[in-house]
This record gives sequence, structure tokens and C-alpha cells, in this order.
Amino acid sequence: MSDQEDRTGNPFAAPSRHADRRASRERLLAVLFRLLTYAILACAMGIFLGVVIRGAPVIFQAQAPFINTDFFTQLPETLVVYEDAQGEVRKLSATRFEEMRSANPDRQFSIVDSYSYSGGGILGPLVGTALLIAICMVISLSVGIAAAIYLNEYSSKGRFMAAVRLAILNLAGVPSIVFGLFGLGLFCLAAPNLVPVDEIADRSIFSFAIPFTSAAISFEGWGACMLAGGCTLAIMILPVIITAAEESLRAVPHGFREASLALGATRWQTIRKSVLPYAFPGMLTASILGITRVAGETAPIMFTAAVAHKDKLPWIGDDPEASWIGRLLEFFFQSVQALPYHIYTVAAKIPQSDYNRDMQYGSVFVFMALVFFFAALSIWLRARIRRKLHW
Amino acid sequence: MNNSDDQKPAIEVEDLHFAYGEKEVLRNINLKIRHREVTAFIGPSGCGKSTLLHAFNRLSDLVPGARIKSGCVRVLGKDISEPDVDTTQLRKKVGMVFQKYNPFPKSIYENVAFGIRVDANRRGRSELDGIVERSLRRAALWDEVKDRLDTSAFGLSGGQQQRLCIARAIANGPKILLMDEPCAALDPLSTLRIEQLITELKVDYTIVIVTHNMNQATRVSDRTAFLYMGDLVEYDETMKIFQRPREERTRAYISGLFS
Repeated sequence: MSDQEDRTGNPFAAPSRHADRRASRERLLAVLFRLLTYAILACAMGIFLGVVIRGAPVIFQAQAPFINTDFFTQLPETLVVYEDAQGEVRKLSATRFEEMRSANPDRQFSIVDSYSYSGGGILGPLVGTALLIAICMVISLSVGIAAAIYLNEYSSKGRFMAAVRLAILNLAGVPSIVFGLFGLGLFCLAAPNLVPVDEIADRSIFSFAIPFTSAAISFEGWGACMLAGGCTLAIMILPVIITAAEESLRAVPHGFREASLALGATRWQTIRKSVLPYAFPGMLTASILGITRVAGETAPIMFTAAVAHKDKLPWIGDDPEASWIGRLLEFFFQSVQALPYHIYTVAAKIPQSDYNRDMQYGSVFVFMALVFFFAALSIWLRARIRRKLHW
Repeated sequence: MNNSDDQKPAIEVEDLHFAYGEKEVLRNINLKIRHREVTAFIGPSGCGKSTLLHAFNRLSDLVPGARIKSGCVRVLGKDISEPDVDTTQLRKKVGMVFQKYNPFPKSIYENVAFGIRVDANRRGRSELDGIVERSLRRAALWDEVKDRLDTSAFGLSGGQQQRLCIARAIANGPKILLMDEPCAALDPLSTLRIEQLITELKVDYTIVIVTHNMNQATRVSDRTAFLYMGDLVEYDETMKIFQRPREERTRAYISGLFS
């Protein structure tokens, strides 16, 4: 095509062959990007459907009350697979199996196999996870909100503050297994503990007796327990809480602070009355999202708090004669079952078969439903609050 | 306030040098503001008029690095440039109204009661009710809001919100009211009402108003200070400033040669 033609030709004429090729390459790229985007959806749907298809039948049933209540009201126990008199292979949790056997002493059963933790329900892990989350949130919210208030309302810019912010960022990037090991070292093995003088552990780093008593303070840690796990999770989630809380504080208009101070309020009054109430909804939303993260973490609790087996609920004490303070200590200083750790156990630590698939997928289904619930709750709250609070 | 107090200026600025970090934004300011007069600060953006205003109630403390380099500011006879001044007490005596009306997202009542609620002296409900009503009346807002004191302040119009902010400042029982471009965000009608209000309030309060609007300065103020690039160029009766300014720069500014 010559210059002459170019200038006189119709500017809206059909594109040249070169332009045609370029256009088709454009279309190809767009299709490629679209497919890759849809691949994300496919992954999410794959996981979701897989869990729902295999997990929902464990939870829901056709007859009233339509929900498998045993799954939520029983502790995990051994699953017994047996062959009954008709030669049919059936499965029952250990307790139910014993009940049935003692009710029918004349019938013959032959036990085919048994699987640990695969029978019963998930009450223990559910309760344990709830308690771990509660301890974690109490600690991380108090420390995190205090830190955010300091960072956003009091601190001035400087090198030291830059270092603090860098530390928070770095903390957010630490892999969760490192938090787990850190928690193990600090809380389980080195934190100060109150013990009888003659029971100081060999591993104690440092200990001294309290005068006139038979007790001693020993830096031997708390062992794997709820409190250690809650603290470890709290440290892990702190950067998220601090960042979110600071963000919420920053979103409160500067004018509120100015007006409050100009009216003779002190700094703390200003924060408490004119800043925190308006930052609170944002903090709430963030902490609910924090809960979903904490609930799912396995690595930080596997050394510090979680156990695969526990034959009682946390609030049932060993010693019925114990004082309330003894019970309280026993409560916080005991190990617990936790949902993510339970899933890890039934999925990876015991032999696999078709018989324990129900426990695996049932647990995952419940877990995912909980996370969805919390995520939805925080989205709903945020939308509601945005409508209510605007300035 | 007795007469001997009135002889002294409400605000007295002596050889004030004010800086943000290393940057000096006010140089050698000398100024006496009289009781129960309206004093207007005019000048182009960035001339330091707002900074000077914020120095009067030490709200300048909010800006990191802001400090008085030398000189002093005396408010109601007390030097407030010392770092250990009780700013909460100072700010109760020196109220402030901001450029963008900024009521709290609370009820109208709670907005006006805020200053009393944060005060160390607790007051009874009936006394509080009285203060709220008086303040709202004084700010010419009572008749408009008396039936909806418990509704959100955000339901009011812009002009009403600004008058609410004035009522909120008045509730503290101040002697001085600082107004930082109080009509900048308002429509002409609301502006007019605020200006009327300023004229009414001057009977009881010493008012310092920063304004960009020179007509407003002539309408409401008794004295006008013209600031330019950190200097106090001219300070005199408003009539003199606008009719026979002594300084060439003042003349140029008020005639609109620059802004």
C-alpha cells in the first residue's frame, strides 16, 4: 500500500492482512486470560463440590432431625468394622458396638478391623478449637488494639517506629510452623510455671522456691496446653489484627479528633469517645476474619496444644475434690483436641479405607461450613456497618 | 469578667516565631486582640493565618514538628507557649469552629453535651439539659432542633451542622471563639446566618475568624489583620484596612491583584 493510497483511501476500510493477524492474536490472548481466570473458579468449585458431595451425606440425613446429631455430640473414638451373623460388613463406633454386643449376648460378630479416631463425632475437636480461638482472640485483640492505638494515635514518625512497622510486616511473613516451634520453645518448655518444690522438671532452665511454701517458680514451661496454643496463635495473628485495627483507626475522620481535643477532651478521652467507637466496627470485622484464619491453623498448635485423643471434654476435671483455682488451672493447662489437627490425624496418621472416609469428609465439611459462616458474617457486618456509619 | 480584666487584651502575641520543623511559617508576629470584638485574619493560602489561629488554643500541637521558636502568646493574660500548659483547660476557654463542620456521629444533644461530659466536674442531668438548651439558643438553632434533640446530627443541613458546632463550643463556656473559615463549606444563605450569628455572639465572646472572603471580613469584623508569607503586614480597624490601607501589599491583595 503506497502513501498515496493511504491518504486518499477510506479510513474505515476493512483492515489489512497485517491488522487482521494482530486482531486475532488479541482475541487469542483475551481467551487465554479468560480461561486462566476460570481455572481459579474451577479449583474452588472442585474443592468445594468434592467436600460437599462426600461430606454433606455424613452431616445430613433423610429422617428428622435431619442432622446427624451424634456427629456433633460425641467425642471421636475408635471405629469398629465387624461382620454380623448375616455375613454383612457393618461399622459402629466403639461405644455403640459394645452397647449392641452386651444387648445381644447371643449373637455372633466377628470384628474385621478397627480404625482409631474414626468413629463417634467431633464434639471434642469442635470444643477445643472454640476454646483455642477464644484464648487467642482475647490475647491478640487486647495486645493488637493497644498496639494499633499507640501506632496510630500516639507514636511519632521516626526510625524506631519504622523498625516496629517493619517487624510487624516481617511477623506476618513468618511461616506458621515457625510460630509453632517458637511457641513450643517459649510457652511449652521455658515459660515460668508454679510447681511443687519436689516436682521441678529436669528441663527447668531456672527455678527458685517461694519462701514459707512448698511451691516453686520454675522456668520449665507449661507443657502442651490450651494456654500455650492460644498464645502461639495470638502471636501468629497479631500482625493481621494490628494492621486491620490501625486501618480502622485511620479511617476515622481527623475532624473528630480535632473537634474533641478543641472541646477540652484529653488525648485518651478523645480516643475512647471520639475515635474507638467509630473504629470498632472495622476492628470487629477484621477480628472475625482473623478467627477464620486462626481456626484453620494446624502447625502452630500441633506442638503446643493439640492432641489426637482425649476421652473427656475440657471442663470435666480429673479430681472432683479440687478447689476452684485448681480447676481453673487444670482447665487452661490441659491439652485439647482441635478440628484442623483432628482432620490431619484422620486423613494422614491412620490407615485409609472406605470405612473412615465418613469421618474425614464429615469433619472437613463441618470445618469448611464454619469458616464460610464466619467469612459471611464478617462480610454481612461490614456491609451493614458501612450503611450505618458514614461521614 | 470585671473591668480590669477587660483592659488587658484577650489575646496578645509578642515577637512570635512559629515553625514546622525547620520551616519558619510565622515571623515576628505582634498583635493584640481586644475583648468582645471580631478580628478577621485575611491573606492568601499558606500565609500562616490558620497556623496563627491554631496557636491560640495549642491545637497546633497536633501537627508533628510544630513549635513556637521564640516569642510568646498570652491568652486571657496567661502565657500559653510553655509546654506544660494545661491544654484541656485552655481549650475550654478558647473554643474552636472548623472549616468543615464536624459534628460527631451522635445525637444533637450529645454533640452539645460533649464538652461537659469530658469535663472532670460531673454535672447533673437537669443542669446539662439547661446548658444544652442555652447553647443551642445562643447558636440560633434551638427552634429548629428542639423536637429532635435525640436524632443524629448528620440529619441536619450543612449550615445547621456548623451552627451545632458553634453551640458545642459555646457549651463549654468559653471566652474566646476561634473560627477557621467557618463558612467555606456553606451555601450563601447559610453563610449569611452564620455571619448574623457572629455579630450576635460578639456581645459575649471575643471572636477571631480566618476568612478567604474579603466581603465577609468587612461584614463581620471590627479589626482585620492581613498576613502574607508569614508576616503580619497590617493590622488595623477593618474600615481602615479596606478603605485606606497603609501598605502597598495590602492594597494589592484587597483589590484582588493576587489571592
